[in-house]
Amino acid sequence: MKRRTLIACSMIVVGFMTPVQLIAQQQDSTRAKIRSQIERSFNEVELGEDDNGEQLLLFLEELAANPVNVNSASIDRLLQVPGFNLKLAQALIRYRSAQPLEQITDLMKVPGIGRVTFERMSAFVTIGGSTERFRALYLNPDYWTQNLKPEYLIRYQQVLEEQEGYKRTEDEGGYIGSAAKVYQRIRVAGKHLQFNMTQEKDAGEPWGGGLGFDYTSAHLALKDNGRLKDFVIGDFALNMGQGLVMWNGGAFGKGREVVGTVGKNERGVRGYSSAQESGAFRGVAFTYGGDVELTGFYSRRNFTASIVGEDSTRFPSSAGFHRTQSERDRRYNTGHTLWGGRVRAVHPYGIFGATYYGTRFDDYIVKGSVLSAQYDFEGKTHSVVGLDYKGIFGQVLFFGEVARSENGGFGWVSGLETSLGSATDLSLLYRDYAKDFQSIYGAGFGEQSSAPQNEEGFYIGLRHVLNKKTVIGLYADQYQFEAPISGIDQPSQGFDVLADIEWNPTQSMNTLVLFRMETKDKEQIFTNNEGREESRVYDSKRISARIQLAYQQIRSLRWRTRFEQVWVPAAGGEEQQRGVLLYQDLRIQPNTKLKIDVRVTLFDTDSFDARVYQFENDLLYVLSNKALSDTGKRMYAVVNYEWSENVEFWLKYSVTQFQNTQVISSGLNQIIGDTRSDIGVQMRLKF
Amino acid sequence: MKVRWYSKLYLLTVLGLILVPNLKAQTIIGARSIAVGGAQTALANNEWALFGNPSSLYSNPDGVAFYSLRNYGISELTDIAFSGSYAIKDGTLSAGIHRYGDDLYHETNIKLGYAFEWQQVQWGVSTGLHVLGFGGDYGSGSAFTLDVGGSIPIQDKWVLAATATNLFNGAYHFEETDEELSSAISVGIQYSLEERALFLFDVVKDVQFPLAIRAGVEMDIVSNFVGRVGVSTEPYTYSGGLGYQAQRFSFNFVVQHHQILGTSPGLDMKIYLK
Repeated sequence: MKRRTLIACSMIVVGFMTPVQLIAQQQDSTRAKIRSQIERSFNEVELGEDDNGEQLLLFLEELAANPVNVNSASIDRLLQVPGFNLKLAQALIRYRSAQPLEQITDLMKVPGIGRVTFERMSAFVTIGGSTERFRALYLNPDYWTQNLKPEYLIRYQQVLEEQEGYKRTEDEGGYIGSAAKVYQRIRVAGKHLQFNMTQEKDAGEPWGGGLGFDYTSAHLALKDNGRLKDFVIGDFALNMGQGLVMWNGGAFGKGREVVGTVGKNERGVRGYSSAQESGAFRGVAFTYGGDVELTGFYSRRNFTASIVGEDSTRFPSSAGFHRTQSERDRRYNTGHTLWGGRVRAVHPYGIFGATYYGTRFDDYIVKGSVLSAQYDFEGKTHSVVGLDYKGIFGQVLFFGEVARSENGGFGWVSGLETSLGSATDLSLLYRDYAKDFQSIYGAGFGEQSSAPQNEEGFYIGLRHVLNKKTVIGLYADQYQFEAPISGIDQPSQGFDVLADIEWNPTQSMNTLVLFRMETKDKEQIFTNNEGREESRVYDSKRISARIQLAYQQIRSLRWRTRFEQVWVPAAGGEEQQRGVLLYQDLRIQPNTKLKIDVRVTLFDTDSFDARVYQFENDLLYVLSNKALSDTGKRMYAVVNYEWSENVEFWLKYSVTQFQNTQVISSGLNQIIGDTRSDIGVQMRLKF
Repeated sequence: MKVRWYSKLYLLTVLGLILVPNLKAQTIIGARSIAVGGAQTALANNEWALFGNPSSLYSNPDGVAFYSLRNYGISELTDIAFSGSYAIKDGTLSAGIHRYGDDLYHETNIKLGYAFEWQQVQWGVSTGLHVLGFGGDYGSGSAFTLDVGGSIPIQDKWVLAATATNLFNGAYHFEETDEELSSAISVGIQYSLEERALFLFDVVKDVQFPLAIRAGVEMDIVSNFVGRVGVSTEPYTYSGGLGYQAQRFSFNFVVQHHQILGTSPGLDMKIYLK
């Protein structure tokens, strides 16, 4: 007891003596790790204008702000940490039952956790402190206000060139509002209590609605309160099982993280904080229990959908734009109700769950008329039910889910992760989502970013630690679509392979060589000898190779150079196309308060098919993975200044100059000229 | 006299049509830089760093330098440059002028640069006034450019460097059209093998031209004499040269061969002030 008191006193003294600089360094390091985690996972994913992955970013930021206590966390909490899987979580629980972790690096003593895995999880875990023993004192105000941190964030973004939508009048179908995109968020988050309100006005939308913003999302959440694990009233997200039945608010997919991301680690009920307008459910949701837990949810909210007839609409749009009169006439014009629940049991052999939801739309939903939509959901009511499991047998972690939609369509996914010796990890996954499997709120692992449907495939991922300095990653994914998909009106298939070598010759230098080849069926329409149009399917390949060098000898300067080449070989009557990207990136931190990221990129692609991607630094909570095509130069600078402990600023200015074009983008977003520039400013107040 | 004038104009027009795509990419100044295939981004002690990677000016000794290259043996396509660098308290200042062409068509580039060291990295910035002129009354145009560069010495053997030239896309403005100047990113590595040989490698992307790879080697031959060879793509060239290093001056000679256009001889000389 005396020893514990001494340790506690020492920690308090050390805590007071900890220089502000160290705290700032830790914060920066945490952000860098979150960015790194996101970048690894969104390697080549093109994000839509409104699909910014914000919820996923917020989840990681929140996890970093309230790290998981590795000395006391349940298996569920541990599984939310990037890098943990069921096998590692169980190994940790076994380890800590013998001796608690005294410092965070003790995690590397747990069997299966090496330096690479530790680096991934270190930003999101803690060894805890003496305040843990107050956990049960719910009536103590300190319990609820523990670690309670109010935060206010406001952001302004704008394209500086005038776009077509602002030139046209309202009657000509132009944008009604200004070009400003404004976002604000109020958040009070603690260990057990959380309140959040997010508001956004998209570019082109007029001021109006709640406090002038077109979109408002809010929730109040209770977290980790004994058997009441989660309770949310307001907007919430649901991440369950392997995502075949219910998974909204962002999910990791194929990327450089070849092992450890194919099996989903469910996050259960979460408060929804993103401005991605269609992603939230609105109502109440809870999770209660111990080894056996029950989740229930009820949601009722309105959406924006295209009108088909008097009592019928298309499936609600995911964009959430209300900029033109036509879009505003449809604004939140239909509603839907969702209810359901989940039972989950933690057993020594694994975790087993069952999920069900039913939903009712106010209007009859009419599926699209294109061939690729022929098996989509149509009707007013719908339901999906599924069973999922996750367990360990020997050295092997198994996971899977099987689900059935109300119309009789089935989908299932099954996979495993295991170690092949001390230096090699393996992931295998098979999925089979029937063409008529209508999981409208699911997000199962797959090639397609949409709901799990019409896909069968097999994935194999391998990671090998060659030595202390070298890690090799490899995945191969073969898939086929039984029914037409977007852009191809017949069954098709594809193959995707990625290999990378990460080599750290010194502690300050990191090099990466990455190769990726995607082979997909495409359809070519041609006129036959009899003058009739026919179609034929051909293999379309896209090959990319990347070399990246990062150097950081001192904390105040990071140097990063990337070269990437893309080839699209000649096929289907199209000539060979090439794309190239070269960028030089610098991160400069003259002191602990100021951080500047600058990058100059030159890109040169023959077509959009040969586009090149770059993941960019951006304002806090903004995810930016740019697809660059045509020929030109892109430059940006992001300045982050921490004025005081309570006030922090960000500024981003970017400019893209194209070489061979005088028209950028199309439709209402069209810009006449060869330059597009964007500016964004953001302020965060913390208390 | 008139016949001769028009003959030259005709010759230059024809040559221009053939050569301009190659000449525009040929922005390398200095016999040593050309001899190592143009892989100059990470080249240390480069007298002509003002026209390449301005951060390399930092390690330059004070002095003045002269350079000339006769492109493909044609006197009308001659490069001439003059530069001087001087160390001040916190860095190195440099100024220079480069002229290409003759009275009928000429490009002049006046540059001013500054290099300094910060956080164990050498940084450089240079600005240029470019003037394009035609003989007779065919007019002229001018443009400003800004170049930035950085070099990181790593463990005494390696240098990692990068340059972004014409950062803000400066262009010659004529009455109706703009003629864009070269705008590029180059990244380079230098490896020193026991101070007897330098290996150089550059990747260069000009916004108007395909990606180019440049590589070269500089080796000690005998006391004070070095030999150099290099190759480059876009345009495809190979080159070789010799250098002599004395206490108060240095002298470099280069021959570059272009696969289609032929051979270009050049030389430069630097006189040290201290």
